[in-house]
Amino acid sequence: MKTSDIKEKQFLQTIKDYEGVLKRVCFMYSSPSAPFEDLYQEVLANLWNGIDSFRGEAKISTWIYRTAINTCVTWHRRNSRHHGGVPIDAMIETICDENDIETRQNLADIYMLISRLNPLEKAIIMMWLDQKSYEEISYVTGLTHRAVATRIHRIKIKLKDDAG
Amino acid sequence: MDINIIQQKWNTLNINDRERHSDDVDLIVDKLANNRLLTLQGKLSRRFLNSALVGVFGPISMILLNEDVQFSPLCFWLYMSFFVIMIPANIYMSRRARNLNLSLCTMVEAVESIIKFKRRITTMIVFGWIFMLPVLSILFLDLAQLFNESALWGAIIGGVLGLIIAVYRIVSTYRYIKEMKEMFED
Repeated sequence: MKTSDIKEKQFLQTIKDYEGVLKRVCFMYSSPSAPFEDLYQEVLANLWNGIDSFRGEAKISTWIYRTAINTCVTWHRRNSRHHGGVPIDAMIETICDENDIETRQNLADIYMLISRLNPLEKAIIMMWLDQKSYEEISYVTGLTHRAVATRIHRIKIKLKDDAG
Repeated sequence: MDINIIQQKWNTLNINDRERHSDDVDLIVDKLANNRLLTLQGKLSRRFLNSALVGVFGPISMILLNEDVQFSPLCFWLYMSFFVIMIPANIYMSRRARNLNLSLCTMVEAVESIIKFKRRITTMIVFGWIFMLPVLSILFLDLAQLFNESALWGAIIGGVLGLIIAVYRIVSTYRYIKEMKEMFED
């Protein structure tokens, strides 16, 4: 088997192992101006291009988080946070089984809350909800541990106020 | 909504539906393995490279035209200088776009890189326009003398439209930069 075939096979396996993480990140950053499919494709392309340079300096899941978030943030457009009238149901349909009502409702609720955060806050809270350590969140964001802790505290207050 | 409830909802999210997307993922990875899919950076890099390659025709066409039409020396050298500067500038931007590796940097570094890159593009646009206006003015003045006035009016209208587009791009770039920077403010 050629080296490229081995790489392709290993890469596919990695993507399938962390598909949930990738889809959650891409969905939370998606919007009409940054559709889920485009973000997902772009994230996969950046993972493919970067995988040879990954030296195990962090867990693979954390590295995948970093690449996915960086990709989604650089797609960020001025109006992507203002969602009045955005067809969330249409967006959810692209990634979720129509019969899984609980997941669809939870996705819609979380999306509405998290969409009010800026891209950095989204990254922090998603990783915190996925129970990543402060060290891992620092690795992805580049903020100090203390700054991460302060931001998490503020984001929790913001989410509580926004949800009522 | 209490953060614990948000955590509960988050934990129940199950969007690892392999049947739904596995064909898509296989197709995308196959394209990546065969270099048939470019990232946004790759596309941007190629766009700058294409501009540089197309720009090569500028000096060539001027040299060929000048044999028949005899532009003024000022017009000829200003026109050639514009392309001598802008072609390498586009090649430089192409390489900067290609070398941006989002998997190797933190989010702060990625955002800073994008901001720096957008500033460089804006500087190139501004410089290009400041340089291009006198080049176009002299070129079309020469053409007006050689042919008729309509060439000059065409240039003025084109220049004004181009300036409006350039100003709009500069303003929207700075709005984007402002928003990206605000993310990291305390």
